Amino acid sequence: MRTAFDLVVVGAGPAGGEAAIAAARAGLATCLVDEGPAPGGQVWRAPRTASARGSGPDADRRGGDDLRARLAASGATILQGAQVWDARPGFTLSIVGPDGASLLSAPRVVLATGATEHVAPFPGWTVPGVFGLAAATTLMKSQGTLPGRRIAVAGQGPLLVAVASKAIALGLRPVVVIDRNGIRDWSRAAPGFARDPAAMARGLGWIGRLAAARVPYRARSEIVGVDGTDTVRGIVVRPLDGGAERRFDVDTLYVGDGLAPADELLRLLGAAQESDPLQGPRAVCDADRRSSVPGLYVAGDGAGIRGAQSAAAAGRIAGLAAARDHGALTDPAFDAASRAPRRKLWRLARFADASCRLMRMPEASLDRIADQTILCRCEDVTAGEFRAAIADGARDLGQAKHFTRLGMGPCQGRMCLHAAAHLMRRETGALGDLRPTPRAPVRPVELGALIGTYDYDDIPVPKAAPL
Amino acid sequence: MKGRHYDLAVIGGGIHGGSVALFAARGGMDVILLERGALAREASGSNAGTLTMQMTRAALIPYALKAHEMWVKAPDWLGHDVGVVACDGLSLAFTEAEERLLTERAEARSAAGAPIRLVTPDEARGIEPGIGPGVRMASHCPIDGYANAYLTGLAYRRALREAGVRIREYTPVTGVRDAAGGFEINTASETIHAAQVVFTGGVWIEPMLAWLGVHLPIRTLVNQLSVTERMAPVMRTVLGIASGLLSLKQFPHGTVVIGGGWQGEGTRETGRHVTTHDSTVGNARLAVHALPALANGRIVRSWTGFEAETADALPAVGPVPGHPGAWVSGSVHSGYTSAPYIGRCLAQAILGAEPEMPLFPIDRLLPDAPDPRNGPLP
Amino acid sequence: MAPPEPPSSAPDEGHVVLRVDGVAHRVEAGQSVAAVLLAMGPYILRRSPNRGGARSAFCMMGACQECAIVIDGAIRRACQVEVRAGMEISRRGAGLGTGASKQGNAETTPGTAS
Repeated sequence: MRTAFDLVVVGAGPAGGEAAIAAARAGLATCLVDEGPAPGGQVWRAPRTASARGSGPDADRRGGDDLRARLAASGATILQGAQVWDARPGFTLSIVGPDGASLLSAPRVVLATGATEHVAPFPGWTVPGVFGLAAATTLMKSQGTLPGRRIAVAGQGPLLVAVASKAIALGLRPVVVIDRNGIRDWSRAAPGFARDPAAMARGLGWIGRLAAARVPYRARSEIVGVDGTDTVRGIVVRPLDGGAERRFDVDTLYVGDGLAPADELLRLLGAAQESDPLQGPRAVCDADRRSSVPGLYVAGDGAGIRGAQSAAAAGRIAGLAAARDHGALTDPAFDAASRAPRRKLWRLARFADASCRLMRMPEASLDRIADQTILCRCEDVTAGEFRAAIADGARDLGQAKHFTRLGMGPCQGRMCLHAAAHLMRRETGALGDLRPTPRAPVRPVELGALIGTYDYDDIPVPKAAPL
Repeated sequence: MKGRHYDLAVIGGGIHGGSVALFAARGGMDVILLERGALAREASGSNAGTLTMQMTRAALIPYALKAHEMWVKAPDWLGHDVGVVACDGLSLAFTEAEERLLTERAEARSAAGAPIRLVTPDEARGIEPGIGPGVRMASHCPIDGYANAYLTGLAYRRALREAGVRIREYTPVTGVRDAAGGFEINTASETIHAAQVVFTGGVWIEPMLAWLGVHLPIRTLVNQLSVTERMAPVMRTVLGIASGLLSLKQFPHGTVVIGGGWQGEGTRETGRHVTTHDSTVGNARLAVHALPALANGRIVRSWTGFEAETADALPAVGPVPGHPGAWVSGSVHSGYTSAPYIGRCLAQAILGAEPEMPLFPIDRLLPDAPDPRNGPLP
Repeated sequence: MAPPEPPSSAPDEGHVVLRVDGVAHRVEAGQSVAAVLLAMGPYILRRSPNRGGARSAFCMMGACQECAIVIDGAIRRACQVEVRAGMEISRRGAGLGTGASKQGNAETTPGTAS
């Protein structure tokens, strides 16, 4: 099956959803492709169970419900449960979904692929019972549950406080909250947060709930390790400024060290990125969200971490720009329609900077990764084995992959390459993006789904190799 | 160390360059190996690692048999592990046309010395129980196997160091010219002198030979491969089909590599190459047709690599005409399989001895030579 | 004024019956397989191929692949698959090869063993 559209939007979070709505309303034949069961992305994830719906709508739920309702009315074709596994400029997108494999083609594409969470490796981060902070929000939003009886919440940034607070609301008071930031870091962020008063009020509400529940809070501290092999029995916590390590009995740990753009498709399509001290690798784009690849637009955290509200605004601009470039909007109409989201982006810039600053993983935490710590979860490659590969002459992560199988497993390096790149820069003085060449499929793809139904005689077997 | 004058400069650090450098150094030469990137990062590190007779050109079977023997004993002569596994090989026919092709090719290859014989579907199933239901005939060869191609760079790096070869990675050569007593080789940072020089740049041997004013046309193939995540054991042989457009093998750690020379897109000039949707899907269909259990696996990664091909699809291995002391080695169809042996033969010639088996001189491929595909001119 | 609940976010009513490692369970509809298994406990879903370490779901966003287990015969991410009546779930991963050799793995690459 080949299906042609004016525009394909990849990812149905705030950015992709708004882009699809804006473009479809302007008259573009728009297809929105999303891996999840319903639009909303990670942040505006739809509740999927009766218990999740029963918890009552919060701001994220209202944002998601609003987006889903407007999408349903937008006229865009929506493919849920569909995964883009390859993309070529021009554009053709290879899809696998509930109906098997297909190709979508469109002269324009908006990438709104969202973020991946980083966790700095520590001994025991692979033990069952250690989950990401983003995992906690996903479970609470879509399922209305959070596994664990004695939980600890660790990491840094707004998500840390959000998860701890929402756990209390579910009746699960954390044994301890471990924060790499201190009160001073949070105070410094306050003026930035004030740019989004509603979000600021929500944040203060979370902090108030933690205080009211008297949840022990360890400021400027990080996880040293997990005690346990098949289950978590406890965690050991270290103050960053010196002082005694302390053990806590917990059975479940939620830990997250900030977000990074899910930039696999962006890289596969050859779009330029620049390194941003706050946002990490950020897509190079103009004010109308055009990337360096003609016809390719970028919005949301996949283009640089800015948060949900900024993502929605940028998505709307991207959708409008695609419509204008397609000839469906006049310049004045485009200018008028994009004025509000532009103002919103500008207003939120300092908010986003403040969030990013709090989420940023201190490099010193990566420097401390001990040799016996597993770096590559898929292939069980330790930091020591990786350092040995560097000693053996590996100078980029593609080569280290050959030497150790780091990054060759099914996560395709998503969980390890950030830390590995840092270690390699540190050991070799190398600069820049050391990640291996981006490859299809951008996620593992089931062969059974990929091949669809076919007759042997129809397989376009090339002519026989010479004898 | 040795200063800037060498007995031999090898330009191109893939498995051909690495093998020539290794055997020349072991023969007593002072060798420098120049590579613009890292060792074995192009075709030599990205190919399927198949060590098969059933995809090898009949004319190359004697070389491939010798090389297979070397691969199996890699720890003895290379000194390092490239994960070689020796196993049976099966080539399958699903249609009448493929049966004819299989028969013709099995005969030609067995006449050239490969112990290949035709077997019934039942016999084939006895050797590889998981093959698909549509098999009409198979050819079996007990001499087959595979290496872990991505370990080539690490293994050769260690072996070359131990043999005393000077390795210069990330050092692109900008030009080579004839000079008194040999050749002058220029890089961005220095000029190197060598009594002899060998060009082992894969698809780039064409622009390399142009430095000496020699025009050897080389076609660039962009071969595609995919690998699954680890799977429970689904096969124990190297599986192919009659046309040669499929190769399947499961590594001991469980991943299955799917290859066969389906074409991606790319050019030698840009150095960039990518997979195509149609080739990924087509190759996957063929793979699942041959081994249905693969349908439950997941492809984790697909990639491409260049393969060089001469006009007659036979190797370019021998002296560069008109430039005594200059040599070339490449474009060896199924080149990974045969490289260690061909490298050894070429090193023998460079050391002034008679090679154990004849080389493949390039005179036949140069523009004023008769077209090798048309036979001798009247 | 609340907008009408769009159909895409409306969960199925009630419960479904599925099998986990051959044992039947009645679970709330709309859940991901991972949520069901984590609630059921123990957390462990599979063992890692090289060192045999216990592993469970980790990112819950489909990125880390730690929860990729055998669901209806194929390897699927438990966090991305919703429960369905009659579903067969096995708490084991993608397979460990023959286990006879680990060539090419970090563990046996000379000089890189810890």
